[in-house]
Amino acid sequence: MKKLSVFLAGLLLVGITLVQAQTVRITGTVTSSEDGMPMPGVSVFVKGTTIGITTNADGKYELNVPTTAQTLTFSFVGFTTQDVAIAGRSVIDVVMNPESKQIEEVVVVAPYGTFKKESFTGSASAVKTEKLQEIQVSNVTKALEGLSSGVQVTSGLGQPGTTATIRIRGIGSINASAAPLYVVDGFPFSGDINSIPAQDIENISVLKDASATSLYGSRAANGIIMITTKKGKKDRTLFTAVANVGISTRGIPEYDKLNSKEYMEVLWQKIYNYNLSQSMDDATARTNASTNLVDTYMGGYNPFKVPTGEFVVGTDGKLNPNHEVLWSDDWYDELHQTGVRQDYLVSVSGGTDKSKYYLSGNYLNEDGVVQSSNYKRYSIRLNNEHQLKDWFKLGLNLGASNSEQNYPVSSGSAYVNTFMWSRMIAPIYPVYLRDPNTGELVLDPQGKKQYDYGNSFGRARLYSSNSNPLGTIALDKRVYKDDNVSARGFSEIIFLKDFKLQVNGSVDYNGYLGLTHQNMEVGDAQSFNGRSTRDYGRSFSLSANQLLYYNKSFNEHNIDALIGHESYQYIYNYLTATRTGFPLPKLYELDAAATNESSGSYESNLRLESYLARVNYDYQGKYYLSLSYRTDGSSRFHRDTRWGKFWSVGGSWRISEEDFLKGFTWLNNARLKASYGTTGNDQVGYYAYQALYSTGYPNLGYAGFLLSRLGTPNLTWEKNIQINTGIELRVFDKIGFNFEYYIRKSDDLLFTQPLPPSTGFSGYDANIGAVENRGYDIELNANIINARDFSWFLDVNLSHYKNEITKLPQKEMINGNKKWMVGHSIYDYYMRKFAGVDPTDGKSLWYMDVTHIDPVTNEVVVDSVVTTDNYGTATRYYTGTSSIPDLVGGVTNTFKYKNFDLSFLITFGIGGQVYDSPYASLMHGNLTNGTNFHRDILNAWTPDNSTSNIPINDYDQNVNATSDRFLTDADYISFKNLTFGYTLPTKFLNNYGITNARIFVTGTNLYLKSKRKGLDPQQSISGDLDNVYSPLRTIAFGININF
Amino acid sequence: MKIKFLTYLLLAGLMVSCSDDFLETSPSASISDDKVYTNIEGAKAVIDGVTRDWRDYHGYHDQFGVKAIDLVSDLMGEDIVVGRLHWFRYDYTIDNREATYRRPNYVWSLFYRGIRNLNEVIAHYDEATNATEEQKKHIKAQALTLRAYAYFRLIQHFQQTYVGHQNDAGIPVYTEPTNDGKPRATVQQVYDLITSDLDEAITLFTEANIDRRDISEVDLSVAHGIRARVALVMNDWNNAASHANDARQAYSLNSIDQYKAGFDNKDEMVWMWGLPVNEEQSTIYASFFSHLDMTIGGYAGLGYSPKYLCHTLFTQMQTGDIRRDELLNPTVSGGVPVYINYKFAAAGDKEFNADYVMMRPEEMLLIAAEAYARLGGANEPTAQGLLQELWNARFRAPVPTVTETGQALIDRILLERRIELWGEGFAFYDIMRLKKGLNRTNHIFPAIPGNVIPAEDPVFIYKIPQTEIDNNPLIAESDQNP
Repeated sequence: MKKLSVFLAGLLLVGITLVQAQTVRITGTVTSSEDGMPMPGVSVFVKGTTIGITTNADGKYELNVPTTAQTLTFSFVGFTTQDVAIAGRSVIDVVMNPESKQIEEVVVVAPYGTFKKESFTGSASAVKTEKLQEIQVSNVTKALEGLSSGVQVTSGLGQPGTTATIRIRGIGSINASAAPLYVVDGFPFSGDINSIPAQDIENISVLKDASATSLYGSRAANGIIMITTKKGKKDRTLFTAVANVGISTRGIPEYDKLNSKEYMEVLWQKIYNYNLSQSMDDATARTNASTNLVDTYMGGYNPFKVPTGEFVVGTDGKLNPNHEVLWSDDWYDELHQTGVRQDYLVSVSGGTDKSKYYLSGNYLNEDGVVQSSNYKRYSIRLNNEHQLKDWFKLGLNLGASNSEQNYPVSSGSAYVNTFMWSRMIAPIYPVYLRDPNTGELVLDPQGKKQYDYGNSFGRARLYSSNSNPLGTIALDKRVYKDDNVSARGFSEIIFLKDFKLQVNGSVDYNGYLGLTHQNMEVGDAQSFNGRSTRDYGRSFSLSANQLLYYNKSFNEHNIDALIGHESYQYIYNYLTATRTGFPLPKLYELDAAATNESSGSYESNLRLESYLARVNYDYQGKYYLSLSYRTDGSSRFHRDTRWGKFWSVGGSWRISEEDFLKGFTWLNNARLKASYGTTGNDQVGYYAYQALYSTGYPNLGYAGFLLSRLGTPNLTWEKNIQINTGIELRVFDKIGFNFEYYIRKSDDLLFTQPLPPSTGFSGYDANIGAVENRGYDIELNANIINARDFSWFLDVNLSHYKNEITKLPQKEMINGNKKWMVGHSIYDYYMRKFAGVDPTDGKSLWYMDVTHIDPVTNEVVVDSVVTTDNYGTATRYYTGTSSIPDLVGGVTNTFKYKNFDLSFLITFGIGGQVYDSPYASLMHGNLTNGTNFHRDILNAWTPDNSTSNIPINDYDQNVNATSDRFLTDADYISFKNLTFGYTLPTKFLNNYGITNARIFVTGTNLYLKSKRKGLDPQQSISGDLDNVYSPLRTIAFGININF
Repeated sequence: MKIKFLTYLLLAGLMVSCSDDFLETSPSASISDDKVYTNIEGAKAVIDGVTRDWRDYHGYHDQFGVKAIDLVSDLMGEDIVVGRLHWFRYDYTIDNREATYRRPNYVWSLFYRGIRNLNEVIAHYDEATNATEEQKKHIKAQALTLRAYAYFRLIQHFQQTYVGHQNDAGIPVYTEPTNDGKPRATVQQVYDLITSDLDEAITLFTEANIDRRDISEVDLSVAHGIRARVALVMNDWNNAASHANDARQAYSLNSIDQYKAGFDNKDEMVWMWGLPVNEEQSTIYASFFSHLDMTIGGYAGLGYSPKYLCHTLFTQMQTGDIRRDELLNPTVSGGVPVYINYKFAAAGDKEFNADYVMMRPEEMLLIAAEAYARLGGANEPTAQGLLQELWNARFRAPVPTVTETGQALIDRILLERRIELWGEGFAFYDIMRLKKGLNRTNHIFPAIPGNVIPAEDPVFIYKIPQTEIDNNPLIAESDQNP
């Protein structure tokens, strides 16, 4: 081969020598159409030869060309390549036009290779990384919403550094994971996705059908998100600095609730109505309510001072007009803050023919809106690639990050969840210790404000007495430190002309160290003198593959084939220890604590060995066929069932290349495609076949085992069969359209096969369920205006799916407020149905079946449906709704006018319902729990308001019990992102050696319109809402400089 | 270059080949079933696992093993007054028996889980390659004793007492591990298995003649003790007396000081069987002492659900009795006179790590005394003597003298059981076997079926869990308890 290169080089030299004899000199200047400035580094070549040069710093070139030459080719990365006829000229000036992003060749990053979009038979969406990088979130998964069709994103918690829940093309599993596989730079990623800053990402492709994913076999059933990090570009050294600084506030407003005055009047009304229901006469009921209001129903706390001897709330149910406000502390404001967000990145990239590199460093520091909630990350990345020989290439991508997350409790019912506390606590209770008679703050000897723990001055706050989250949050700690190292090594040799062999390896390391500290002064661990838990988790994965590629073209036939082998091992270690008994406050480490409470550790191992093959064939660039096959052997399963086979067939037809359509010049591209194939979901536990004794039952110092799992040698992965069909169009060089319809059948779903509990087990794992998702994805992009100074691009994506259970181990399985049955989706609501308010007495009514048992068939027969005011006897029904939206989508508009740019992303969901439990909690019927009310309570039934659909405001524990009254339409529209930028003039910048610079302001989660103020319909896939950390609204200023 | 190229290919080839056992992994915190029984220590570890499970926390604060069910037994009786309804409220109000309720499901699953594991031990203990015959017998004897204990607890909750109900449907009986459900055996069949298990265990313990490792292990005395309890329920007075005597042979009675030690520390009292707890394995708020002990900051002590000794029992206690004079603190709750009982007092000692008592010699004495009293005739002075022996250990001088005879003597002994064993889990089982029904006076909250419930009323027994009926083809809805 060495000889061959010498020979080739010799030939070239000869060629150059030959032409030197008969040349003419051509000169000229190359400028940019963007700003009219000269462009250095533009390649100028004689078309079809190697004769060429690049322009100098002033954009000028000089080239001796053979007299026979006809055409010069001008090219530069990011600009449209131009062929210019020489036509006898000796001065040729050229204006280069930037490539329009929209017609840039879209590349799909697929398993084991990249493809031009038009040759890819599978279903893939390329995410616009420019937009992704503008969204001010620390985790890229949260930025994916609205940027790709077929993807449903629920943002979960607003705590910085948390990950979104992502579902691709419906819900493919019930009991195993339904989350997609992440592949970073060619290998499945087992680190923390948080460790990759959005600015380091070159490309994200979402792979959706079997043709695109089946090469990942047993891990691919829930789709794949392929992430490629940035690389250096040849001959273009680029230094980039990006700085974003912004502030974060709460992205979703609070529910509308009562103020102190309204609260006390509503509470009075409740007592009065309750008294009436206890057969008190009207006058006594009123006096009793006024008399007992403060002491019995407010725990003695009263924020209003009234003249001695008068009622605070009179017998007319109105607040005494002669009142003086003693305090009106706002729990939300006191517990929350405005966060500051800082995100800085510098990168250097570049390269030569032989080597390319990309080097970056990132620092992110993001405060949440809860006090002490924060996420801080340092990350570096070095990607480089070396062409050692013309047949041998090596490369290494290395990413490392360190992060620290402070995450106060922000979901669930623990009192330290500030979102729950500030939402639920009645407004009458003070945050700080105040004199009950004057409302003055009671300061400590140091003159500092003290917290009111709900037990001051002989009173007993009815909402969570003896606690105050402000006091606890300041003293507790919940910290999570996370280290990630991720390396991808590549090597490639080319041999025998058509062959290419790659040997690649990857390592992902993730270590996290957690500290949970409950302080010794107040709260749950007070009686234990404080409690600290340290936990350490370490995951380490090692993967290697050997891939042999063959590529051959002959007579308009193109064949591209691959065979390969891959092995994967994953080890996870966990260690935890808890101690109690601290001698002094502000000590957190276990060494300082006296008493061991618990400790433990375990290790989990997973191994996978795989063989794979793929053949892509096309004829004339019109007809494409793709065949994939992978077989996986997994340590999760028994020797006899361990190997699974996964395959796919995909085909596409570029109909626009056919002669009968060639005449339609407005039709740039038209393509039909279809695929069919299988994938698997192996997320069923690490030792899914073995009968196991758990060792976690020591009896004092003696080892103790307990049979924890029955053997299931037949257990295997969940299987997916996917059908995808699509049409892809591009017309008038402006408008692109893509429509795909899919059927995704998930079979052998993991379920517990129930056993009689008298056998000692309630069940064992078995592959016994099936679920089907059918839907379509639509993508539309249009280059609506593309004038010299003004352009407007529009991107729209829409997704729809229906989910249906097709097989279950039992006839029906009730799962919270859902019921699983064949023919229903896994998120179909099942609960009592609210039948409105009885206009005569204001009581809630629910529907109830009147039934009898048929003596012959022994089955229950429904005779009629009536209403009842007894919640317990009301019947549960399918409500006919589910949490799955009918349609979700995103719309991105991008405008450019001269140096200004403006883009905004709007996402929306139509259809589906959520169960608004925070609202239900605020519509409670309790007299003595010190909980605030939603303003809707003001419209409760009264004899004068007898048509209200809000039940009477009295004492009734069932008034807010689970029913479809609290199912709320999940429709929403969200102003997800708006970015306004200005690119500084190049002339100005060149004075400072800067190539280009852009300043911008960007806002994320700017506005959400949902059915009810305060309601976040995107909180969870299942539609169950909790009092959780609201998503953050972040407004940031940024600057991006390149030189 | 050719060499380099070949080296590269070779390297690539090396990385391709994985060894055969690459895909064989095993967990670190679990042991696969085929490895457990290769050593006798494995079988012993399963017995320890069951023992731990029986004092472990299971998801709710009123589910912490056998002592939770012991507490249920006392709460379903007459002698504990609950000051405020909280955890255990439905047990206390005799309203926790439906097929889908947590309590029947918990009792069922806790003991059947134990039975399954013990059946595995009984099926596999012989596979150990490193054990003597004596060691194997010792293991089997423990497994049989615990299995009998589990069936004995179950049968008393899911059917009326033995006498008069021998032919009624009992509970499924498993003597070997299986995933196939069994039908309800008759009460007689269940008791046949219990007695034969215990008799075999007694033989094996005697033959093995190995001292037990610690107090959490059942041994010959405990096997005799359980056998005596069973005989008492079966009204088999001779066996009750003889097994009770055998059981307490090696044990003296607890002295006054020992009785006043708080029942929280095995080292400070004479126990025959106990489940010691340490800091790491404590279930803290979800523990027996959290719910009953008024001296530590648990559910009882913090006032969420105080438990008192009932005034009705108090009035039947005699002056001079240290259990009355030195452990009770009178107070009033809900307008009713009640008594804080410092019998269970872990404060200043083991606190939330208090040990659990499972059997002690005084109970054996009382079983023997009752049995002799019921046998009557020449046995009556023996019964009187036994009761006198206990009184001598519970009264400051002057100690009253036992003078009762006949039914009065039996009643006195039964009253003594209520006084001596208060809070130890016997109340419900005595109500059942004595067929005396429930008659609560001086309580604050009423029982749902009423404060007076006749003997053998269906409300006393649990329904078979619905999941059992749904998944066991041999138990139909028509087999359900009334």
